[in-house]
Amino acid sequence: MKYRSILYLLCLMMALMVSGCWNYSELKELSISYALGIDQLDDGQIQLTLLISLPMAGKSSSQKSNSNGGEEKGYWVTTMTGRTLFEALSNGRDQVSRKTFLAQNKVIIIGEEAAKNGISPLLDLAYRRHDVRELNDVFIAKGKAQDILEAKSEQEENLAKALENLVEATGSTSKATKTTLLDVMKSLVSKTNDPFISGLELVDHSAGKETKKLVKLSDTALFKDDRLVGWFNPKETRGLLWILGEVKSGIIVVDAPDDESKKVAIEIMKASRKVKPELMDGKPVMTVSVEEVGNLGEQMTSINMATPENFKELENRQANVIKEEIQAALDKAQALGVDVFKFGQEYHRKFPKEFPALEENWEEEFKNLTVNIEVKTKLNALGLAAEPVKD
Amino acid sequence: MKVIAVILVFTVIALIQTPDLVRKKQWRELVVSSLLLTLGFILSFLQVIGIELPNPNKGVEAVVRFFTS
Amino acid sequence: MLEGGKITSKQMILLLFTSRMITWIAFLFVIFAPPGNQDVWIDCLMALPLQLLLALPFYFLAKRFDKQSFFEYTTAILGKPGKGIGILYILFLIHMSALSIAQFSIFLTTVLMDITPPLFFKITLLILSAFAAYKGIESLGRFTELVAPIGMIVVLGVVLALVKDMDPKEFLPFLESGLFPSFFTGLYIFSTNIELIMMAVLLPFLNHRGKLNTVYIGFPILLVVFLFTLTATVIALFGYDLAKTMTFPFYSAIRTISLGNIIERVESIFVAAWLLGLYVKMALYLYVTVLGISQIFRLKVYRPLLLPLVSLIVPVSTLLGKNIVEMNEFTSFEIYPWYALNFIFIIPFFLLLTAIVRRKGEYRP
Repeated sequence: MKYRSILYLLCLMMALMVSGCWNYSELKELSISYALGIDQLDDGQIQLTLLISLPMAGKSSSQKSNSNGGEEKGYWVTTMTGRTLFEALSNGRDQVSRKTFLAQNKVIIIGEEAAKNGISPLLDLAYRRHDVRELNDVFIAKGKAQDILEAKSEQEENLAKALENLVEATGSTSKATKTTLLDVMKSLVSKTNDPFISGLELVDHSAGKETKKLVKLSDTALFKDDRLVGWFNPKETRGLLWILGEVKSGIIVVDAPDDESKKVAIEIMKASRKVKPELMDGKPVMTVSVEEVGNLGEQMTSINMATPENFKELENRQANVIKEEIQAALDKAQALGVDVFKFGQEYHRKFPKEFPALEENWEEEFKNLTVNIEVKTKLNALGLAAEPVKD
Repeated sequence: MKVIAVILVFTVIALIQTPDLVRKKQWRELVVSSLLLTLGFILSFLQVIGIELPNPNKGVEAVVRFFTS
Repeated sequence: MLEGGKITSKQMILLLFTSRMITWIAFLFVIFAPPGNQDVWIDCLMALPLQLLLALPFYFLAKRFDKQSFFEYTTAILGKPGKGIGILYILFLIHMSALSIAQFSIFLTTVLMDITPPLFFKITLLILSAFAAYKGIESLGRFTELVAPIGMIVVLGVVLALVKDMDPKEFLPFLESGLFPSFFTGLYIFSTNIELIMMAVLLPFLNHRGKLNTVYIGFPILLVVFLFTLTATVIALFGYDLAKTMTFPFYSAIRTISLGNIIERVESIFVAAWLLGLYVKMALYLYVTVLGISQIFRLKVYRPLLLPLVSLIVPVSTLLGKNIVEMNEFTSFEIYPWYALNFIFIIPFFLLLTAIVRRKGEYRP
């Protein structure tokens, strides 16, 4: 009998717990952050920029912008400063009237200046906090992260969503990279790998009489240890992706066989790569072999490409373009001494015994590394048009 | 406040346990369970009134380090 | 008769397995142990032969005293001093229960509910577990049979969802620092397996005595397979270097699940399943401890001891769980094995020797 009463008590307790104990959070008491911008100010302080959704604005946006020209804002960009990121966040509580909720955060943007001083201290908070996802996309802004967040996307109401879509699309262009917090952490923690992070920039976009700022995915930031040291342009970025084996699709433009000024575009259908580390007399030699299958996507000349000779020629030219891209990326990375290709890791895996000696001076070894590039390409299909239409 | 809560909780546990044991004349059980309860009460009470108790892990660690190094 | 219930060998394996796995899922200690590189998965496999070999004292003791539990045959072998050994084990079990509950309240407050006071978890969970232990071994066994598959399915589901993000190359180079460190870590893994004591206490409740071999072999195999899965998942996903920097590696792995941007943030489901297992674990610990106490002092009932035991474990666990750094230091490979090995290998070994010398119990092969 006594124990039955205890059972009832327990049931009562459960009822209390079901309603959510200490950690309840009501939607209307949260400021949901979608993007986090990190900048370093001149006095060494950290400035955080949050892109916070305004739930009430969403309701009235259906009535379009009101008569006095003021645009409805669905999002609020606010900044806060402090000596550390966490302090900045808590300082921000003076102006943000609701509890900051980072679990929905999708994007972390780091300003160029802050990145030059090292990113690992800036990412520690995000890595440590249990509400920030490891799958956040990380970007390096050319300029200040705050400016990027204050720009607006024309298509999407939510800039973070727009950035997420942009970065998803890199799969079909292979001109920019997609780097999540997890990727960055992986290469930061490794002794030989150096991280790379996709970059963002603001470009002027003239729409009628007024010019607007537009956020654009551009270039890839390169890091030595955790300091920003240089950038890969889109061509070099493609080279990087070839070596990493992350090219999924994209367009390769080659000169037409008959006329150098006319271009032919080839769509990458399939690509794979093999990286073969070797040691020759104690000197590391790397062989990168890329295999690619493409389709003829477009031709701007008028000769018939659908002949075996022309196809062969296109394949060769395509291979040359790929080689050039890889070589460009290698040259820049070796000049800067940043091993973004994970070559060091490959040596570690293949030569565990010899590697400690190499690792000691990996930067120099990498700078002097001989890399052989082998590219095999194939052309498969040519679309619906067998021959170009001409008079 | 906390002190009162601790005393209250332990009194309730004692009240739930004891009458049954006394009625059934299970004296050994009564002794052992009161022993456990008293130990628990002393430990809780000391912590609640703010006395720093040593961490048992530290003791084990010291012994192990003495033997392994 | 203290306990009239019987459990099947399957229930027993699952009970012990759940109890051990729950700890390893949250705190994957193997990752931080030697050899400290991508070869730690070998350690997990290494634990199997070690476990089968080093648990032999328990096995032969159980063969000699097939009607008696661990706490009963210590007295049968040693006489009065056997009670001292028993009390030592009780203290050890209380320490381990308090340590477990302290670890888990830290795990929960770190990963999910950071404002809830740890004391709240400790008290509610222990009271509920005490209720399960109150119901006896039979219902605990049945409950485990229900819960353990849920936990296994969740873990396997998590691993399957992560397969696409794994990189088998993370396991290379193979055997970078030789086999010896793995051997040591195998010992460490074995030493964390204090469920062997639970096994020794519960064996008399096995419904078919002949199933002893099944439990003795099935439990470590299941354990090693799962531990290997966890470790390999974490390493293939993060690479060893990053995994080493994480407090809860497997939990971090679950956080990265993303299937087509639809199935994401599944960690709450995981923690829910995990809590069920934790409930079983604490119930088992409480049950074995009170049963042990009653057997040492020849009590007729063990149930009145449950609440006093809970009231003792809670303050001890607040003592132990002051901060996670101190706790991790204690459970690290430097301290913990030398402490726990005494209880799961050395003392049983000498007990067995004494039993053989004094011709206590009869050996029935």
